[in-house]
Amino acid sequence: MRRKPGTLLPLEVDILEAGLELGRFHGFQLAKAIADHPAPRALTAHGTLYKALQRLEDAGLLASHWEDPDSAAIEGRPRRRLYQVTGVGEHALGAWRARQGPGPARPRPRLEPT
Amino acid sequence: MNAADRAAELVSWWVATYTRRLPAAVAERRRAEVASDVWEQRACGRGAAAPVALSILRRMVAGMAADLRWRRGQLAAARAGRHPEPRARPVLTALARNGWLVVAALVGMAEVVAGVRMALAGDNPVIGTGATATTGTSTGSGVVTAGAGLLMLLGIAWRRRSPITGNALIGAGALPMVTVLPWIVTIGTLLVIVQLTHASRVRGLGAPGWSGHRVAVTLTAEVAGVLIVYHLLWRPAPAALAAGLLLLGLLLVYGAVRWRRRAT
Repeated sequence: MRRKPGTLLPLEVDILEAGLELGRFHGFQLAKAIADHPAPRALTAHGTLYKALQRLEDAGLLASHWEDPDSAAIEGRPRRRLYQVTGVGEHALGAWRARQGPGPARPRPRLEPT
Repeated sequence: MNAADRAAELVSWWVATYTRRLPAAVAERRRAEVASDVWEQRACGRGAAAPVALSILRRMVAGMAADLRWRRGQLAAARAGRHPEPRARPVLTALARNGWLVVAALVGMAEVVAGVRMALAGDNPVIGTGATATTGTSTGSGVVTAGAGLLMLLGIAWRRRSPITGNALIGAGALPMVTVLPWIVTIGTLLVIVQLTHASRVRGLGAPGWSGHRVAVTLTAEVAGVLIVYHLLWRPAPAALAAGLLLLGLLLVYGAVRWRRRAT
């Protein structure tokens, strides 16, 4: 289904908002941040989350890269794909908020990077 | 192995399943990302295997529809990438890509003209023998030759609707030319390879199309039919008749086995 240019789905808004709070983040870290805000809820499904991340990256709202394999090996875990909200993404979120009008602030808890 | 291990294995199996036959880079990225996600979730919920396992399974099941939609999108993108629209010199590109169709059209038209002439003429030399045929024989040969030509032309037109069916028709129309031009066998063999490759690619991308075995059955039936027609209408050739009947027998056995498998 086609969407109007500039519109964002609720999950995409959550991703951009959480992503701006986190700075550089990986998939599970983002899912946890979204689940913890504003009230605890279930983690986003794998398929939904990674499809949305790829969609936002394809649109230029996110950028991503694989982390250095050495740092993953040192910590004995799989490599993480690290994402970051781009300037375009920040602008898109700002434009979306402006269209939505003034509303209640949604404070997002500062999360410790894992 | 605890519940979380089993849940992680199930997720890994599901990701491997829905990323099958996708471009390697795309599939590998998704597998690695989900593997990392599951690992992080397990590390985050250490000490509580059952709730973590349930959460992992819930995330897998809840995302299945999105996974399948994503797969469909990736397949469409892969197809578009493999067949980009020609940008420069579209006429030359199309000609280079479909040049063999021009040859097929010329052969088809030549078959139609030669067949009609044979059917209308009285005594004519039998193709390839130099002997004189009776009117009945030349009429029969002419009708078959013209029919083969029409089949080729029909196949060319049909390719717009279904490339594989069109190729099969062209192949069927070209095979009788073996009596005149033995090198047609080489072209026919190449055509078979093209068809099988096309069928496997279509199947690999999950698009609707003919499966490899369906193409193979069609071609076998074509070859069997041509061998029998060759024996009956052109010149007696017991070897050709035997080969044709053998192929038909194999097809019947194959059909019976498949029918029994479906029935059970």
